[in-house]
Amino acid sequence: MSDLLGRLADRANPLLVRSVRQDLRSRLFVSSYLLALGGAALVAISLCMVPARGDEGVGMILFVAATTAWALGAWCVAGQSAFAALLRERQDDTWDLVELTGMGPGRIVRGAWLAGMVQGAVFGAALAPFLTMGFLLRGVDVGMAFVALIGVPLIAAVAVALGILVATLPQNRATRNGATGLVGLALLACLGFGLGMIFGVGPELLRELGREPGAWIIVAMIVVGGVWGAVLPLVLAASQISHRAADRSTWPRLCWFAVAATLLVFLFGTLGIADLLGLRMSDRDGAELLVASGLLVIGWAVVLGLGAVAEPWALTRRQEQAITDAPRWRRWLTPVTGPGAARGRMAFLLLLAVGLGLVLIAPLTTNGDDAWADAPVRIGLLIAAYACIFLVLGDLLTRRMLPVGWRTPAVQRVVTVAATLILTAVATVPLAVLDAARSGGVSYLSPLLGLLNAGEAYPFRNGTSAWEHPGLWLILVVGTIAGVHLLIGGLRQGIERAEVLARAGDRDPRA
Amino acid sequence: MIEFHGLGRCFGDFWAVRDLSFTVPAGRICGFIGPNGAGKSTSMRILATLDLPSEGRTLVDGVDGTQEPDRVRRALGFMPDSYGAYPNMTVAEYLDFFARAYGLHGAARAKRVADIADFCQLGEMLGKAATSLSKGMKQRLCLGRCLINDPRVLILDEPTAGLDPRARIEFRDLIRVLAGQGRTLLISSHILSELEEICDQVAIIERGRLVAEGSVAAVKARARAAAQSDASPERRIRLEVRFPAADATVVERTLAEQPGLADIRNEGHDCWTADAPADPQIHAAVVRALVLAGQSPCHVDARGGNLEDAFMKLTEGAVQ
Repeated sequence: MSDLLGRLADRANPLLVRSVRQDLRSRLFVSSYLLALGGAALVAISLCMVPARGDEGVGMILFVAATTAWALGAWCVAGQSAFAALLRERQDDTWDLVELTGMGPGRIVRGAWLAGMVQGAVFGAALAPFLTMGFLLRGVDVGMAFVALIGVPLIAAVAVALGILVATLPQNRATRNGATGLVGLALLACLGFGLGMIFGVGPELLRELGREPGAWIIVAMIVVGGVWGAVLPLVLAASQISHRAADRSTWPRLCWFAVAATLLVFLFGTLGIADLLGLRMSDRDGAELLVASGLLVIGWAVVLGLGAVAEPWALTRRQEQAITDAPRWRRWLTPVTGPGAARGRMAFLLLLAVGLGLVLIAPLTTNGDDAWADAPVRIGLLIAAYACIFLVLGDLLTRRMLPVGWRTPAVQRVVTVAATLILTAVATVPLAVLDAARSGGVSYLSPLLGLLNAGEAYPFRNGTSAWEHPGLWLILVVGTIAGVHLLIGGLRQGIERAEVLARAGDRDPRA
Repeated sequence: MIEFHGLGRCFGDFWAVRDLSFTVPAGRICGFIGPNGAGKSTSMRILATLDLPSEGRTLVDGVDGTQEPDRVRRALGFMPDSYGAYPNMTVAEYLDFFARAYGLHGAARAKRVADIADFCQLGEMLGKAATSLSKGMKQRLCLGRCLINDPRVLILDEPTAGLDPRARIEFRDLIRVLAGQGRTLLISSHILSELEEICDQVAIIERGRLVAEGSVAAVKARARAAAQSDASPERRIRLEVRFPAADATVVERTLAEQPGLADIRNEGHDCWTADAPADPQIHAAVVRALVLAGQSPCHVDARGGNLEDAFMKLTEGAVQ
């Protein structure tokens, strides 16, 4: 066993080893550790000296006090340590030294995150006797203890990942300070909300679990949500701190797909388990689940598309290697998960197709309840069409009309969002003033009014059905053309080599 | 081998480095000289793949740093002008961290750390906090960190800046040993006499542009040629006279009596320099007078050219 541990320690992430060594000697950790330990001890001694409450009352107070101290250490102290460590690393020239070793950004953020988690575990280990005592005094039941033991590390994982993400934001001090303040507030809110969840909703949820066979799926969703809440900030942080932020490989997009896949696994898992448990879902419930999942996937695809379509066509050498030298298990995924504008388009279209597929399947499961099934299909199609239109518009405006120095992915994203907002406003205001929105198909020329009207199941004032409106079909046709345009771009799968040069405005190459 | 090909780096409208091209063959030591703000550190950072060029490229052993930074990093060790210390770490932990980061495991890592500590004479410091070391020891630790991955190419940015003479001489000896191991070194320093002693070649940069490049002798010859082309009949040089042992009072009195000499300085170690006309007859008269005064000069350098002189002649002292 010790041999195995020795080998593990030998192969451990270097940043984890270094950060743990440093953190456990830092004043912040030592003082907060002693404070947490002393506080818990003080509460325990005080409770022993005031015997008026029964064992259960004493146990409850002790358990809550110890969990709160643990949560403060694991969420706030560990989160702050991870934030400060990465910030210090980024500001000082030590960053260059670490980068020169060839440690990838992924390993760096994973090391910092694991070090934060180890700090949280050390807090937990110190407070474990008090937690055990609180439990043995029957202050809490097994369910509450279980929720605390799962909840505190889970929220710590998210808090530490967020701390790391904020530390990797651009070198602009004002931006980072603003983000730090927001994350600080979020952590405080997390503390209140998390403890509320653990001691309020948690046990209730577990009691429900005993009665409702499907309720554990909610617990599982919370756990998986927490895991993704930690993983996504880490992946984003890693892509921020790469030698050149543009020099990203396949991992960010792979994570994007994994989130969508997790969603679908839950969807079909829920349906399958409900069936296994003999819970009969109505056709309408099943269809609603499909539509909700489909719309979520479409929304996820739109956010992905905003980033992916804007990427440069040409690839850096490192990006090229991520495609050509990909391991066998990942090679067949690179046409959609690989970096660059072409593969970005394919990723967007694939995710959009999956979402649309789910939405389109839904009506088939309702056994002819057309009045309900119509609306979500129209909504899904309209979102997809408008997404394609605006992504192509932003792409054309940026790559064809802006000066060379402005043709960056960041500018393209801003242009796309700005074009969407401006054109939506331009189309919506006159239609709303003329009250044309409810009288016919012209409402579909405004994304906002179009989506509002697409959701309505009843006939319009003039008695027509939404499908009869030429405006809807016009948008769908234009959207299809935009989609085909994106597909043609996506089929340009050849590798175009980028010349890696600093931009004239670059001040800090690490930003 | 290190190659710069038309390297340029601009920040906004300002070109920190422009059209920089020179080569350092494998196993050679190159001194990289220039006034503050000349673009030395920027060029070195680009060579070390820590920054991108705006134009041109750099190669380390034939590998392009912008295209394949990971391969370049494996081949080089970079010592920046700042120390890069971590708080709450001992010297041993500091070296161990970088050894882990370079992918060394188990006994190989322990041996490498021990070897580095031995080479840099840090053995007694291994248990001390890295931040508490003296400047000289910190520089040794930095050098040790650079050597962890056993690089073929070393880039040292101002490695002896701020060191006392003993630490500087000891550090210089370490550099000589590294050169003897066949590594290619690019060293920037403001202490030109030091570079002259250890470098095979130099590259002088000013306002981001290469002013002179080649072997130390070639650069000095170029400076001499530049000086000789100076049309002024009153051209003056620096005359250096060394003795195996000298009576300082007699030497200084004799030199002061010589017509045309000015700014006479005792440089220590029985060596004097003086500002003198570039007339060999006057130099001969100085030697004769010293001999007649009972002193025996063993070395007279009237060429007016050490690296410092060459640097001063070739650059204008302009900073950007």
